[in-house]
Amino acid sequence: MKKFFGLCFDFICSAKLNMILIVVICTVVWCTLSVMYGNYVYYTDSYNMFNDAGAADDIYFTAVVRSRAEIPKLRERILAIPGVTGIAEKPYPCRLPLSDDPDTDYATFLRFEEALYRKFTPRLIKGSGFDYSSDSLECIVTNKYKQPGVPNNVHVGDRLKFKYTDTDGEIAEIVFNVVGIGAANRFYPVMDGGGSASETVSVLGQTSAILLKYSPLTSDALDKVFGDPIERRGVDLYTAFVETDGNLSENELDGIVEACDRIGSAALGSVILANTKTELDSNMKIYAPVFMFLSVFLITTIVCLITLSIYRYAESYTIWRILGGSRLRVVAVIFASYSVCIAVSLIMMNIILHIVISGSIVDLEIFSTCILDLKTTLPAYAAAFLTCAMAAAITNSMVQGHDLRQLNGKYKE
Amino acid sequence: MPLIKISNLNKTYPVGKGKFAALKHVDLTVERGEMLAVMGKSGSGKTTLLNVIGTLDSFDSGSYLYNGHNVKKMTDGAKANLRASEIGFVHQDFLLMNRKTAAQNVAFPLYFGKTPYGRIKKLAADALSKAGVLEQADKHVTDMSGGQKQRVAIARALVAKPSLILADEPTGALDRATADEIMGVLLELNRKNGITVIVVTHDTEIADMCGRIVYIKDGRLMEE
Ligand SMILES: Nc1ncnc2c1ncn2[C@@H]1O[C@H](COP(=O)(O)OP(=O)(O)OP(=O)(O)O)[C@@H](O)[C@H]1O
Ligand SMILES: [Mg+2]
Repeated sequence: MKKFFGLCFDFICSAKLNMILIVVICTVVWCTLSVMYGNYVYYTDSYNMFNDAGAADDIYFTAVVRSRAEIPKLRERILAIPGVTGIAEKPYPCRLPLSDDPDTDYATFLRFEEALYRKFTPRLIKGSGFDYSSDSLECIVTNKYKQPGVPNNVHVGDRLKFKYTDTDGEIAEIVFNVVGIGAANRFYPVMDGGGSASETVSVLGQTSAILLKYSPLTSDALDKVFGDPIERRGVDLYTAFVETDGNLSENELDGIVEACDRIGSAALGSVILANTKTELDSNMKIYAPVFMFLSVFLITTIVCLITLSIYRYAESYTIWRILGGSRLRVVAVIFASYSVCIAVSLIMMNIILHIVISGSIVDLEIFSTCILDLKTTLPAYAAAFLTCAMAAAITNSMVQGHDLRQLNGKYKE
Repeated sequence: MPLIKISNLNKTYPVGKGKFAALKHVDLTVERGEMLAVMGKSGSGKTTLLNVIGTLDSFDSGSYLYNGHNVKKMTDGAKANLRASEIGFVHQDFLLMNRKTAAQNVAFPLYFGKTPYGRIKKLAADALSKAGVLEQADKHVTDMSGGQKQRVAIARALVAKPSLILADEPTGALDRATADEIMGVLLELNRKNGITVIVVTHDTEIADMCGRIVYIKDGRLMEE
């Protein structure tokens, strides 16, 4: 094996410039393709989630509130509108200052009320989820994108303990029962996208936050720990899905939207879905040709570069044969060397997307995580493999009829 | 058992739509430890014969037994293994890899054989010293004289301890004195180490140093 790597290293060194070019080109192309693909997955996934939740007939409602006390009044006014059957409120994010590492570590939680939890039940890979009829403190975590304070590999049935500094500066402790492990690619109605009425389903997003069951049975205990997030910030956007009677006509629905609009600002779920579709379509109009172009560009450049390097290497390659290299071995070496190249570019892609993009562009909680899923990088790996196989095939076809005489330069047809 | 036993071997090259017969009804037996010269005019088929013996080229009909093994039936991999462990090549144009040092060039064939990785360096040094160029081990081959290059090539040919060395006009690119030196190295390998050597040459003086001479004319082999 060491000898095989030695040969690969030798080959890579002999075709340095080519290899570097390929790495650079691949990295750029992978990044573009991944961002495009991640974007596509995000929109279609959240579109489906929104649709499956039956949110088309809901009204997405936002209003500015200055204290928690305003919320019951708001709810009352909305529920008083004829045709409105319920309200599913935004899950409130809240943070816990962990006392073990007070400088940096906050664990972020999302408090889920029952109505919203029922509407957008998170995708779980294990566990049954929240039981709103019990008063136990329950949470759902994901093992992929971890929050501070959460140990590795949490299982359903575990008890998660958080030590934190409470409002009096004392160290306190809270324990949650783990009732579910969230799927890596999970979407939630994070609903802090700004709240104007031109929304797309980007009101949904991915999050690594720990989900908490928030119900009248648990609210006292949780409020004691987390306090009032609105009070702390001074102002907040109250956000909710206003549920309507399923049998309303379009006119009646529009009437409710108008009524909601007088209280805060409102958009109909079906309008949001339509907006999303338009946005996705317009994105695809750009993506599809770019995708085609990049694929063709990538394949042709790689094939050209590889062919070129093999031609340049032909002499050494014939020497390899003379010295005892079988065809299979030589092809394997070239295949492996280019695979290494492409693997390097995939690693670079991950680094770039992870550090550069997710570090600098807002909203990236939404994108980065879904870009870096195996599911999304898999096509890149497949493409890479295909290209390497192509390189090997080219080599193999070049192997035919290469012998000493070509080196002599003596043989003329 | 002879090292090489070739009987009624024919080899053609495709030329346009037809065929060109490069070797015709060749019979050749070479015993272990022989030093054989192959002579003939340009285009007579010397290199073709060497390529066939060295398993680099296939042939149309007839039989070729290497140490009793039927070469016709060998797979590409088996032939490669044979070249890696049994056969060393020396060539008029040296065929060294220019971006490597002498030691790296000599070590290279061992990457294809069964030699454990850890022993490669030592064996390369041994071969360099046998060929008389140990001092040049870390020099790049581009910085060497023709004679030194050919010595490096010989070191490379013998590094895997082969039974057979095939030399295609090994002195063709060298002056008289250097040519004699190189032949000296080959002769010594033949006498001291018992390696069978086949040398292709135009030069009767060189051929006379060998124990046996065969002639090739238009693809036909004739013994003296
Ligand atoms: N790949 C090939 N296709 C067609 N004909 C070939 C091929 N290789 C060699 N020949 C022909 O076969 C004959 C023998 O060639 P070979 O190279 O063996 O001659 P040689 O004796 O080694 O000559 P030289 O002394 O010039 O090296 C020549 O006539 C040559 O034109
Ligand atoms: Mg020749």
